Amino acid sequence: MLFNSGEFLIFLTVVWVLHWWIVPRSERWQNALLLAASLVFYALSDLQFLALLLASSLINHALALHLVRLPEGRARSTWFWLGVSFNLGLLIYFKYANFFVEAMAQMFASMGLASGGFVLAVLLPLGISFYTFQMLGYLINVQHEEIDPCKNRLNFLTYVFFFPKILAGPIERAQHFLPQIEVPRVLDPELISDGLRQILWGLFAKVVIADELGPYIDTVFGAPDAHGSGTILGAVMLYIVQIYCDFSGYSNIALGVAKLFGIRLVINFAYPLFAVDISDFWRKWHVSLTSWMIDHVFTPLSFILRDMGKRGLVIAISVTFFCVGIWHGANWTYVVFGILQSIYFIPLAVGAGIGRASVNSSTALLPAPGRALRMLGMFVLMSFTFALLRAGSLGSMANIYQSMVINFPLNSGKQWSTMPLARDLILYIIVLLCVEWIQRGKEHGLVWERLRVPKLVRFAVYLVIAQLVIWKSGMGNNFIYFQF
Amino acid sequence: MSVGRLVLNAFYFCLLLLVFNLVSIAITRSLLLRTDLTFPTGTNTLVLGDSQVEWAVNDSLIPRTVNLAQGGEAYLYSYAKAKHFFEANPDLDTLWLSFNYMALDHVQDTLTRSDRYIKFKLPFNFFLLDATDACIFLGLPKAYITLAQTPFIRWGFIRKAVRGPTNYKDLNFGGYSGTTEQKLKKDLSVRANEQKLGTTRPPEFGAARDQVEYLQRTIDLCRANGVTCILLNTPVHPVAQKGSDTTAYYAYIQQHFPDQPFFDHSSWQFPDSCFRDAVHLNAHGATRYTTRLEKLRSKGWPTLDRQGRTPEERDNAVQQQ
Repeated sequence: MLFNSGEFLIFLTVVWVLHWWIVPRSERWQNALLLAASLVFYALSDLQFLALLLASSLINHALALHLVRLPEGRARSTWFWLGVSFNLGLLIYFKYANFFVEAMAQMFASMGLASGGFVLAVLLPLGISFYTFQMLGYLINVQHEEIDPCKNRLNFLTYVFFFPKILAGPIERAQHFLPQIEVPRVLDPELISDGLRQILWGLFAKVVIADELGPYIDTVFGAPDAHGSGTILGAVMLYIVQIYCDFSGYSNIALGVAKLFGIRLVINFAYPLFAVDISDFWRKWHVSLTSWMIDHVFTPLSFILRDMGKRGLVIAISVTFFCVGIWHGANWTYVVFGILQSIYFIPLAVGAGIGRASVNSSTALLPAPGRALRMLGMFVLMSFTFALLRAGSLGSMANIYQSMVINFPLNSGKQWSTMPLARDLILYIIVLLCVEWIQRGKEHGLVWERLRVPKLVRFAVYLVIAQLVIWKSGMGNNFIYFQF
Repeated sequence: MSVGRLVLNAFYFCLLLLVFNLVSIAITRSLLLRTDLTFPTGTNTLVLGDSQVEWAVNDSLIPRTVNLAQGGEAYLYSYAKAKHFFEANPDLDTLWLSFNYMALDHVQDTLTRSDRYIKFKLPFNFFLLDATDACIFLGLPKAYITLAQTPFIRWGFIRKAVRGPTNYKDLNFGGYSGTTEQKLKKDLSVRANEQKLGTTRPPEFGAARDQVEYLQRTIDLCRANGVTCILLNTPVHPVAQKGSDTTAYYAYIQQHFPDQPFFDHSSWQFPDSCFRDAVHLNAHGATRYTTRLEKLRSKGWPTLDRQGRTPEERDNAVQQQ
């Protein structure tokens, strides 16, 4: 069931009414309802793996409780690593087994050996990357005694399966989520109103921009040879806009839906298209993944390698971005994606340039020319790198860049632009960028605090966006990040 | 903000959205209904149905005929079109209605009720439907969303209609569109694979309830208006014919429409170069087929056998044998 479908609207309305008006206002009943709704939601999306995820959650729950009962020492460490291996094993099997088998077969074939015709066709459970990282983070936090394990199984399962985030995050921390559901939630009209606005903004980005960009980008990436350089360049630049609108749209809807139930999820995007450098970008893009990687990969690694000085830092950064890359899936494009990110990052880290104030902290209407140039440079660099996530293989990526050069009008006689983008779509993208620029210090584009906008105008804005979403909603297009 | 205020705001918001959509749909409908549906003087034949006739009958080669068939068209829409065009064109005396081997197969009701076809068909045909016809969509959420999207989808038409008069050609109602695509080889290999794997779905001819109902209604409508309704089965590739449940098809006609004029041209011999795929003619095939149709019409439609032979041709063939 997709967030941008009519079925979800009906499902959400029913669960919301039940949550606030039918079930007793105790955390037990509220959580039981949310868990039941979440299980139904997941079952409707991917029934075949529901039992697996349920079993895995119960194992993690029991394991965490067992860990704290053990004294510090080898036994506890063994159980902890067993838990880590279990979670990683599931992820590796479902996400990377096909890749490894194919790679081995290719290697054997290149050595002139028969692979025995062994073929593995493992299906990917929806949301497994997000789910596994959540479980791993929980176990690590319990092991390091940063949190107490959740004793209440109902609360724990609600944390794991909470439907707004189960399929594509954000990767929620137990210490942030659990305290919110351990007390009865009170209906807060302000929070609900904010949630509704956030959902609307998410739908605008997803339905009006990302879904509309999809066919254009698919056409160009599908047959780059047939298009002029300008069109290919446009598609490469627009892909990052598409994936941003798709994923940030999804995240905004997830955060908004959670607010309808009185729960705040972690912010996943902080206007990354306005980033001025690579560290700024990764502080704003898929924040829940980046912060997970920093806490559980980069920090421990740099601690272990601290004696190696800058070399240790370089290794820690490289490993972290390698993990970020392959988190997206099993493909060489993701590996190269991770390597490129670390190449961009290392000079900044070695030169101690991380942690400077980002552009979000300024409230100026227009950026200073220097900053604007850096933002533009960053946007171009990231566009070219993120295109890797869209290209199915390194060969296709090379073909795209090659076509961009070969089809240049002076070389080929082909037109610069062979496929113009719809004018209304350009307008929507400009509107989104302008609104997000103005609202860059806030959680989403429709937060009106400190803006003197009359109520009627706000109402009109909501109506226009809602109408655009109705007009543009197609067949309930999937979210790009579901594949990761 | 109180809970009451929030609920009230949400209510006003939904109400305004609903009113805006109802008004914009009503305006679009009235503009569509203002369209002049009159055909050129002398037109007496209307062609309706799905892609098989859409691509087979080139109405520029056959006088006094307008082809408004369209790929994926359910009989519901053919019926609605026929009703309005009969009203606007009293000279119409013949309707050629597509009736192929799949026409009443149980999957064909998806042409009326599936999300995909609602999205493609409703914005272009909704204004033709009366209350009884529209009841089909009552329980289908996609129909409501599609109706709300209609003013946006028909924006080009609305702009034109506001500026000046429009005619039936502005409605995107279909019509002959010759194709030069070559998909026959691919189609034949897919069919061969299906045959080999045994994945060919058993047809259930006559099981499509909406299709059956609206085919009957169209025939009744023709009778009521003094229009001859001719069921037309256009030429298909021998492989497609072999793969169809022709026994059930002919038995159905025999049982339900024994007196209905039925032109079965499915076995007319055409070379592979005339086919786009196993069941559609390409532009070249359409030219040959339409020319032959016109010749037959000018002869007053002598009774043809399934190979498309006139009684004379058949007798000659028998004598030669």
